[in-house]
Amino acid sequence: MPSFAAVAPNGGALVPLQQQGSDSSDSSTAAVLHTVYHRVQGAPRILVSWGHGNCLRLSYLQQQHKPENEANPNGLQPAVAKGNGGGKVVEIELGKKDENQTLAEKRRIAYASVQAFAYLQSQQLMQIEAPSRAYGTDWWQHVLEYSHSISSALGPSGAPPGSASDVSSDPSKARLICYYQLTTVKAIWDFLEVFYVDKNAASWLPERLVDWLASYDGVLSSATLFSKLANLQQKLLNLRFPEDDEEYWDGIASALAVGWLDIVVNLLRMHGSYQHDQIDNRAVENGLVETIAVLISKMPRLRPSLPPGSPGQAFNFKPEFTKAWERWRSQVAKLDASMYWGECNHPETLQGLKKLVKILLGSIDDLLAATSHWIELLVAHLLHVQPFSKVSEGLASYAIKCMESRTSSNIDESASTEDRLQELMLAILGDDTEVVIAECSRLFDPWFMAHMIELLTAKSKYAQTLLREEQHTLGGISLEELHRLFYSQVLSSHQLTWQLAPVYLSACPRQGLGMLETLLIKQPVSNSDRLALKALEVTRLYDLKAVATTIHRVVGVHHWKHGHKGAGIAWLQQAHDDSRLSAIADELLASYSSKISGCSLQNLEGLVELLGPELHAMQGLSFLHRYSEFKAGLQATQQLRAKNPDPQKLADTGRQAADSLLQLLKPQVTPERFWLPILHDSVELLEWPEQPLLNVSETHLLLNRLQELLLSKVRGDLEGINPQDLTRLPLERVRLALATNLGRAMLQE
Amino acid sequence: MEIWRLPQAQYVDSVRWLPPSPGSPRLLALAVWDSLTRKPFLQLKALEENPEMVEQQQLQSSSPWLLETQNSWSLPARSTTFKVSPSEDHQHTVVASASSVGSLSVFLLDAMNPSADEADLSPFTCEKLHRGAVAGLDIQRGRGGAPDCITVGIDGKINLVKVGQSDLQVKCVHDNHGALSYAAACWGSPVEFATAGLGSGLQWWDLRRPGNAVAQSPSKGVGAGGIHDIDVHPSRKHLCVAGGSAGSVVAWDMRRQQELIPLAGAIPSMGRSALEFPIVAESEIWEVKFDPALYERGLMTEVGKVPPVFVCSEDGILALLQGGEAECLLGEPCAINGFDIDPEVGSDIFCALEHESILYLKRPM
Amino acid sequence: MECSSISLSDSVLYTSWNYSGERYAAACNDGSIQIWSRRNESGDAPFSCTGQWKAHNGPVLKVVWAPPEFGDMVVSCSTDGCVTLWEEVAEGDGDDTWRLCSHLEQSRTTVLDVQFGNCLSGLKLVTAGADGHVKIYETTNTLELKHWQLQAEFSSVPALKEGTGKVSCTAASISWRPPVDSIQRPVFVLGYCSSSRQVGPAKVWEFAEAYQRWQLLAELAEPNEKLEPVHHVSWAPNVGRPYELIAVSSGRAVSIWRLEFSSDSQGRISVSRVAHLQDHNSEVWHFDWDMSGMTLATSGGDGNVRLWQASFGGQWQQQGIVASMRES
Repeated sequence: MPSFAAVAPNGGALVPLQQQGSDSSDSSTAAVLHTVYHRVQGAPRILVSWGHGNCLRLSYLQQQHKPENEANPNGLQPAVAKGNGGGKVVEIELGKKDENQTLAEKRRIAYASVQAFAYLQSQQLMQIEAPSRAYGTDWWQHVLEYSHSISSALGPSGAPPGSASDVSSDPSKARLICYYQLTTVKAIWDFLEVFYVDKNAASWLPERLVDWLASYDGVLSSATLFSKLANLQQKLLNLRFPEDDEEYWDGIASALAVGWLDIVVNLLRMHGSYQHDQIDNRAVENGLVETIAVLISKMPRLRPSLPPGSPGQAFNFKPEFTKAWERWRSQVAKLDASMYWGECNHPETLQGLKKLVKILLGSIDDLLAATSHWIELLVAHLLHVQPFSKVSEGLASYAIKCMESRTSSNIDESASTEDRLQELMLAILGDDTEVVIAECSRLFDPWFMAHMIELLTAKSKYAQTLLREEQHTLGGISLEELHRLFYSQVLSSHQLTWQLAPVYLSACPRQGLGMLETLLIKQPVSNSDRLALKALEVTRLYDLKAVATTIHRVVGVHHWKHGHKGAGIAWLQQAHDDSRLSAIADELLASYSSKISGCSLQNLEGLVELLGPELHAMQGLSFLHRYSEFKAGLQATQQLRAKNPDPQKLADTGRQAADSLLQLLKPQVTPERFWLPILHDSVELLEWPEQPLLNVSETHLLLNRLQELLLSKVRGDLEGINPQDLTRLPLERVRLALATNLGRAMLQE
Repeated sequence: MEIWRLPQAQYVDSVRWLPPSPGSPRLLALAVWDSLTRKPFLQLKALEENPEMVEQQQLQSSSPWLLETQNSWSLPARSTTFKVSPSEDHQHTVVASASSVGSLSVFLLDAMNPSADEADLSPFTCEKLHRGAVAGLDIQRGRGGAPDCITVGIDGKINLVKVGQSDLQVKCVHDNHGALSYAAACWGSPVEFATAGLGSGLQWWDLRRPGNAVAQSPSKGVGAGGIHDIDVHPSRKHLCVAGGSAGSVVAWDMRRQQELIPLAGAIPSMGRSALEFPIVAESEIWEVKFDPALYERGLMTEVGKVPPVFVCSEDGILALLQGGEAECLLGEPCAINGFDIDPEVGSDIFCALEHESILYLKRPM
Repeated sequence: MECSSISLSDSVLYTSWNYSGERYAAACNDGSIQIWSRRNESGDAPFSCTGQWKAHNGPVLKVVWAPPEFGDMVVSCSTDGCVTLWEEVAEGDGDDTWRLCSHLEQSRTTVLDVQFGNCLSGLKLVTAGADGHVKIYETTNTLELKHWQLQAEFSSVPALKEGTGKVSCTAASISWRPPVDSIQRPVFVLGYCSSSRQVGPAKVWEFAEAYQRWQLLAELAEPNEKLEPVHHVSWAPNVGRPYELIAVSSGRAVSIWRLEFSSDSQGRISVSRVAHLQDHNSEVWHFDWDMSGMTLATSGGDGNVRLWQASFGGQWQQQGIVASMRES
C-alpha cells in the first residue's frame, strides 16, 4: 500500500491553492498565484488580513522611516508627501477556479448540491439511530440517489454527434449546451459513481462504460471519436453518395466499435443503395448493407434495458445473454463467409462492410484502428472481444494494455490536464483510492472534493478507513472533515453562499462547530437586522446559544449607540444582558432627571414600557418603571395646579404622587445611588402648600433614606454616587423640606 | 398545485406582480441585487411559455415558463422594501423601492406599456428620508390626485411621501427619535394606515388626527424579535394581520383593540395551549397577505373569523392560514424572503427564494 | 480574482479591519485616524472615508477595533505616549460621529502596540511601551467605556525588573489567545523589536487567577538560540485542535510554535517549534491566520505575500505567492 503522502500532490499538500497546470512537483518553489500592481515608492510594507472565508485582504503601504523614539520621543514626524498616495488595499479571493464556470453557475450548483448533501447526512443519522428501519436499503443505494442528484445539478448528459439524444445539431437547443457546459467534472463524477457506488453496475460494467463513454467521450481529449463523428456529420450534409467516402465507413466502424449502435444504423441508412432513383443494379449491395444493419440492431447486450428505439437486444440474465450472443455471433460469422460478397460491385461498400464485420467478430487490429482514445479501445475490447469476462478485476491492467497499444500507435504528447485525467481514470479503474484523492484534488475544486468523498466511501471499506481515520498531523481531523472544512471556507467567502456552510460544518465532528461559530461571529450583523435574523436562524438550527447571545448583543449595542434606542433595548433583552440593560436604565434615568422636553419624556416612557417585560428580573428596570409613574404623578400635580383646580382633586393627585414616591423608596426597590435625585424631586411634595401630604411615619422613612446616604458617605462606599452631590446645598434643601414636613405632619396628627 | 423553479443568477430582494394591462404579457417587477457588480436593479420580466419545453423534458430543472427580462433600471441603493401599485387614473404603474440607506425611489411606468420606457429612465429619489434602513413601505391604493407612499424606519419616523409629477414631497407624520422602531406599514384607507415594529405592537394612524396613533394593540403577543410585515384587509379595514419572529402570526381587530388574535406560532405569553393554533414556521415570518382570491370573488368567511392569510418564512415555508388550520404549500430548503399573489385571480404566486431564484406556484382555483 | 477597494495616502502607518471586515481603520503619521466604510449598510457600495480626525500629537502607530459587543470603537496608540479610545455614536438626530470615549494617560514613552481582550471579567487592554513595560487596563463597564483601571504593570524585560539598565524598542506586537468556546482567557503573546539583546524572545503571559497576577507562561525560543528582534506575533484561531499555534517573525524568518497545555495539575505547557520559514529572505513584517487556523499568510520585505499550510506529513510548506510589482 503506497502511503498517502507519497502520492499526494506537492509532496503532501492538503488542498492546493494553485491553478492546475501551474503547479510544479518541486515543492520548494511555490507558484505565483497573483501579482498585485501598486504605486508605492520602493518596497511596499504589506499588511495581511483574512476577510470572509478565502478572501485575503492586503494593504500596500508606503514604507516609513522607522520612528526614532530615543531621539525624538514625542515630536511629530515630518509628514511624507500626502495626497496622491500610492498605498492601496486589494482583496484577493484565493482558491482554484474552474474557468468554464461562471460564478453564478457555481453558486447554482452549490445551492442544488447542498440539498442532496444534507439529505444524505440525515439518512446517515437515521441509519445510526435506527438501523433496523433502514433494513432493506443498503447505504450505497442512498449514496447512488445522492450521486444522481448531484450529477443532474451539473447539467444534462451529453451524447455523441448523430445519436438520437444528441441535441447539439438542433440550433434551438444549442443554447442549452452552452448553458450547461459539459465538463470533465460531471464526467469524472459519473465515472466514480460507476466504480465506487453502484453495486449493480458490476454485473454489466462493460455496458455502463459504453453509456458513460457515449456521454463524455467529447470531454476526454481533443482527439476522440466524438470529434471524428462531429466532423463526419458536417461533411455528410454535403455528400450525396457517402459510401464513396472513406471517412463515412471509418465513422461507422468507430461508432460500432464503441457500441453506439443507433449512430451506426442511422449512418448505414444513409447509404446510397437505399435511394429509390437507382440507375445501377445495387440490389446485392443493398442487401448486404441491410443485413449488417439488421444484425447490428439485433446485437445482444448484457444490460437491464436499452433506451426506447435504440438498436440491440437487452439481456439481464447472463446465461441467456451468452446463448443469444453466441447464436448472433455465428450469424455474423456466417455472413462473413457468405458468397454474396463477391457480387457486391461497389468496392468502397465491400471494404467498409467487411470492416464492420471484422469489428463485430472482434478483430483486434480493426478495433485498434477504429478507436483513438485508450478508453475507447478498452470499451471496444469489452464489447467485442471479451463480452463474457468478469471484468471488474484486472480492468486496470487491461486498460493499461489498451493505453500502451494506443500510445505506441498515434497519440502525440497531450497536455498536462489530459494526462492528469488519464491518471485519474486509471486510478478509478484500478480502485487506487489514494491516487484518486490526490489526482482529484489536483484537478478539481473544493466543491468536488467535499462531495466526492461520499462516493468513495459508499461501499469501499478501505476508502472509509482512509478518509475517516483521524490524522494526528492534521490536528486530529480526518481527510473527510478536512475537505468539508475547506469547502465550507470557500462558501464562507461569499455573502450569498455562507448560509450553506453550516450544512457541511455540521458534518465535521471535530472542528465544524468551532468554524461555524467563527463564521457566524464574523457576519456583519450590525449592518442589517435581516442578516442578523438569518444568522440567528442558523444558531437556532444548530443550538448555538452563546453565539445567539453575542449576535443579539452586537446588534443591540449597535442600535443603541446609533440612536435606535428602542431597538437597542429590545435586542439586548434577547441577549439577557443585564449589565448593559442596567447601564441603559441609568442613562434613561439621567435623561429623566435632566428634564428634557415633554415630547422626549413621552418617548422615554415608551422605552420604559419596552423595558417592562423583564421587570422582576432586573431591579434597576423595575425601579425605572415605578420612577416613570412617580414622574408622571408629579407632572400631573403641576399641570393641575396651573389650572386652579378643585382643592380636593389637587390633594388626591398629590397623594397619588406621594404614594408612588413611597413605593420607590421601599427597601430593595431603588438602587441607593438614585435616592438623592428622587428625594430631590420629592421636595415639591414635601412643601405642599395646602396640607402635609406625607404623615409622620412616611416622613421618617424618607429621613431614614437620607440618613443612610450620609452614613454611606462617611463609610466611603458610595457606589455610583458622586460624593460632591452630597455636600452641596441641595442636600440641605432636602433636609430642610423633610424637617418642615415632619413638623407639619406632627401638628396635624 | 404546480410548482416551477426559475433560477435568476441574481439575488432577488423582492418580487411583485404588475397590474394587468390588456395586450401585454403578464409582467413582474423584481428588485434584484447582482453580486458580481454589487449593484441593485429594478427588472421588469414577462412571464412567457417556454417554447423549448418539449425538448427540455429530459432536464430536471426545466420549466414550461420563462421569465424574459423586458427592461432593467439601476436602483440607487439596494432595496429593503418594495411595492407596486396602479395610480388612481390608471395611467401609470407606481413602483417604489426603499433602501437600506434611508432613501426612497419611485418609478412611474406607463401603465399601458410598462416595459417600453427607455433604459435611462431615472426614478424620483428622496435621499435620507430615514436615518438607517427604511423598513416598511406602502403605496396608496388609489385616491384622487397623486399616489401617496407611507414609509417607516428603524429610526422611529413615519413619513408621508406624495408622488408629484416631477418630484417627491415629504411630510413627516411622526417621529419618536428612535425610541421605537418601525418595521412595516400598510394603508387601510386614503387617510388611515397601520404600522408595526419592535416593541410597539400594531398602531393605527389617522392623517386627520395628527400627532399620535389613534389606536394601539397590546405590545406583547408577537415574537420577541418584533413584527416584520403587516397587511390590512382590503375590504374589512378594521382587520390587520401581522407576522413576526418565531413564526408568530397575529390578527388585530380594531373593534377589539385590547387583544391580539394568534393565528400561528409559539407564543408562550399568550397563555394558551399550542393546540389552539398551529405552528407553521419556527423562524421569522417575512411577509403576510390576506388571500385576494376570496375577496376578489366576493366570497366571505363567517363573521368573527379571520379570513385566510398567506405567510412565508425564513425556514422556507409558504402557508395558507385558515380557520385555525395551516395548509403548507411549500417547504423549501432555503428562506422564502417574500411573495406576491397575482392581483387578478389570486391563483398565481411568485416567491423570492434565498438561493437566487424565483418560485412560481399555481394553485387550483 | 483581485478587487481593489481603497486608495491610501503615503502617511498611513498601520491599518486594521473590524470584526466583519466591513470597516477599515488607518493610523496616520500626522497623528490622525481615518475610518473607511462602505457607504451603505448592506455593504454594497464602494469604500469611502467616513471619518477622519486628529487623535494624537505624534504619529499613530496602531489602531485596533474593539470587539463588536462594544459598538464601533477603536483604540489607538502613538509616539506621544497616549492610548485613546474612540467610538462612533449618533449625536441627537444628526449623523454618526466619532468621539473621544476615553483617554488613558501613559507616560512620555511611546506606546508601540495595544490590543483588546474581551475576557469574562471585563474588557481588557494590553499596551506595550517602548521601554519594555506592559500595562494592562481593565473596565467592568459594558456600555460606556469611559473609565478604565490600571490592573497591572510589569516589565517584559527580565533585566529591568531589578531596575538595572534601560532598553528601547522600536516595535512591539501583542496577540491574544483567541477565544475558545466563546470564552476569552486572559492569555496573550508579546514580542518586542529591539537592538538590545536583553529584550529576549516573544513571551506568553497569563493572568493567574490564584495569585491575581500576570505570569510568564512560556518563552518562544529554543535553548541557546541566537535571539533576534521580533517583528510580529499572531496566535492562530483554534476551532478544535488539541494544541495551540503561534506564529512569530524574528529576523528574516517566521517560526510557528506549537503549545500544548498538558492536563496535569501543574498546568505545564510544552513548547516546540514546528516550522522555521525563511523563504522571504528578508524581514517578515506582518502575517495573519485564516479563520480555520490552517493557512498562514505572511508578508515580507521581498514584496511578496506567501501562503503556508501544513502538509499531510505535518510539514509547513509554501502553497502560493501573491507577488507585487510597481506600476510603471
